Amino acid sequence: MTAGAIPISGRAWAAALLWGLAARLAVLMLVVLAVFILPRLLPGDPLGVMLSSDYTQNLSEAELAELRARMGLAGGWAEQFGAWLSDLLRGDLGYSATHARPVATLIGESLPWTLFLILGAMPVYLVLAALAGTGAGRAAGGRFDRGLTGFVTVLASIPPFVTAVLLMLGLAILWPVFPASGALPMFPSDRPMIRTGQIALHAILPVTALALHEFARFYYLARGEAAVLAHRPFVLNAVARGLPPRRLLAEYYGRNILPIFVARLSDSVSGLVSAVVIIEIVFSYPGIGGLIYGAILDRDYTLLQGTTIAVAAGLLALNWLIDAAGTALAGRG
Amino acid sequence: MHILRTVLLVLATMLASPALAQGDRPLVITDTRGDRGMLAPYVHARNGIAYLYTSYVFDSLIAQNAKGELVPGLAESWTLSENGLTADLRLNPKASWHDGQPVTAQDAAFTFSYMAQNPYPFASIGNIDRAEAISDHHLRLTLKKRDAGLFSGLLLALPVLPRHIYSSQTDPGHFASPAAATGSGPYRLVEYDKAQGRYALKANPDYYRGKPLFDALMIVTMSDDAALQALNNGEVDVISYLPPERAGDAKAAGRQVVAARSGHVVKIGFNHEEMFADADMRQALAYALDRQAILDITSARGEAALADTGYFQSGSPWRENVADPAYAHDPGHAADLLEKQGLTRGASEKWQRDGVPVTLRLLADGAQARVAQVVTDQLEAFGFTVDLRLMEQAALQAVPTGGDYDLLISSTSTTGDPSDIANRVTGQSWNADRYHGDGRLDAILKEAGQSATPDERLTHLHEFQRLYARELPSLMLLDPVMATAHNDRVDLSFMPDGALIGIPTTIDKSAFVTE
Repeated sequence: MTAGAIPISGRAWAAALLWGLAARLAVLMLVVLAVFILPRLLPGDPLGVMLSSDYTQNLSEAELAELRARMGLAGGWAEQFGAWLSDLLRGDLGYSATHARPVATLIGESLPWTLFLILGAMPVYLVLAALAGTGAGRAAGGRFDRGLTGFVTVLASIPPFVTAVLLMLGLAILWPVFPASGALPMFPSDRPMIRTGQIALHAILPVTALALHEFARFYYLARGEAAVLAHRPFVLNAVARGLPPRRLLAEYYGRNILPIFVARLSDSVSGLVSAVVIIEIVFSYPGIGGLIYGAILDRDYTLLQGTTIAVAAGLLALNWLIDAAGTALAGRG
Repeated sequence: MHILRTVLLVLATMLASPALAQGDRPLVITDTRGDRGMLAPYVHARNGIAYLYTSYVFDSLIAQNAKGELVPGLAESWTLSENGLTADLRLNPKASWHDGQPVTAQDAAFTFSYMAQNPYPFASIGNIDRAEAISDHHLRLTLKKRDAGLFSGLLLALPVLPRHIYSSQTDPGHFASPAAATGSGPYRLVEYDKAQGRYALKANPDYYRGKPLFDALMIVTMSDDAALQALNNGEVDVISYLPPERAGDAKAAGRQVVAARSGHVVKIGFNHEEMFADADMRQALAYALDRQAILDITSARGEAALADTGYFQSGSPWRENVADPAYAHDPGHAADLLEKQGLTRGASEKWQRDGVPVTLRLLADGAQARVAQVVTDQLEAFGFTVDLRLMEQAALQAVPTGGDYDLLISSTSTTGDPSDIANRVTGQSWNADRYHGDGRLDAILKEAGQSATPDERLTHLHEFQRLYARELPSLMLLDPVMATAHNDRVDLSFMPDGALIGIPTTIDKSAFVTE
């Protein structure tokens, strides 16, 4: 973002930016506190869950205390929180005893898969929603609009896990054209080209489920905006002048819809993240959703804390950037 | 649409075809659950299957053959002193670590001292007073007290660690690099892909008990449907746990299916500190329930068998081969027993105590939801009000002994060396019986543990079986059946008492080594 592109006062913009950052850091602090306390309020004990197999032997009190200390569970909450916070400030997310790996490594292994799904879904639903919404909105009340809007309304009322399960049932089990689970086949290819194809094939259903989830929201946005724009004099004028449809779409509708989309995007991203968690679980996709879900079942506090903080920090940062971009675009008018 | 479908199918087939040629294909085993952690003692997941996979890589002093009998492992031979307190083991001089170093008695002695510092939950060494290397191949163990399960329990379970690798590790829970998986077992871990839940193992060519049966093993994560399809296509060789009701699908395609009772029973535990403190009350409940009907309803396609009530399940080598009391459905007898305990039937045939209706608080593991529902229906039909709560395991675990419940439906293992039974009967874990009673069961188990001969131990265990069936610390309901489907590259069977620490499985390492 170059300062030259911004007609509103650069100083005011920078101040808004800083203020936004401060507010988000405050939110992050609340998240840190909540994510420490909430898991500890769940019934069940991490060490107990870890040793719950029928085959584990009864360990002595001393042995249990030793394991507890190594899992960062020694002492009271204040002591645990202090130790965890000081590690966190040094950039250390801790160690997951159930996975026997540093939390940062676990996140590093699973986050790319989650981002891949999110970034794969975004262009799909944004472009489709913009085109379909503009098409419907320009002739609001017409046959195309009524049919499509009715369909989208039904779609919007289906929760994402239902969409995911239906997609899986339809296109992976009853009519098995796509793989039902995972990110790679059982024997992934060594050749990069084929491997990329395999990854893409496995991502199609989860990406579709995710894109469908957000499609409706942006469809309504684009439709509403297009319906208003269609009656604005400058658009009517352009139509009367016989402007080519493609230019009309790109420069008259597109330009006005874009800032609205960007403003809504930060909302959308947090919605996407909560949807992706569920979709990953349905498709056994190796992303961060499965990691969080497992951490809850295992009462793996450190992992749950680390993944939640990482996701929250990422979301807040993205939200901040999108807001900044939105302000800049809106300023441009 | 038709063209699209064809194109997609071609694409899918192309992408799904295995990259490896048929000839040098490893023996491929499927697992529905996926990631079991790194295959090293301190970092594998804390469950039986993860332990089992780790045993392919790490040998113990004593091993099992495919029938479950004890055979030499790292120790060629062993003797126990007259007083039962000193064991001498002679180690196989041919044994070596995967990095080529020899396995010595020093490694074995080190393992005991290391595990004293760093507890390993699958082997309790609390009874070992001293472990010393008399020479490079002579290990001497001194016990604190007699232990009839020393060889069939501890020494079979305990993976021996390489001293030259682990001695520098102060926190083995953080040691998960490939070096951590340096064992002395028949297979070496060559690849572990955590995200995909995939393990590749290669035969250890220098294995001291002879060349392993397969050049390579592969463990992959697959759902039941995908696994069946892949088994029928010849892409995989073994489905380690096939739901028994799917056995027909595999047989129809000409594959072999072995099935057996698992000994991993579904049972009703009691809150012994409240209403069910008295054995008569527990027996009344047993007569009030129709166990056969529970089985018929929940296991219409052979998923389970009726459990034996005397703890040990049919097929267990520790079980006395007599019929345990069956507690056949007898509501009249149940009513008599309850009335003797001061309960009365009030209006609308509901059970009351001092004019107050009796409500049974029934907790159940979510995995046992169907059984719990049938039990609830039966108890309500018998005149109890039932408050059923299904919970996830971590939450159930937090319910203390004597807590807010009367009955608790869970599943638990009854297999493996009996030295662990006391934990499962008197222990405080959520799926233990949490039972002390008058202390008789405790005393019998202690005597069994201290027995001088296997026969003496068996006599005590049979006594335990009879008393258990009478006292009902828990009421055993069902014994689920487990099944494995495989092709003819491999010969598999279930061991009568589970593998190693009592894991009901066909893929014990004895199936993959030459004997």
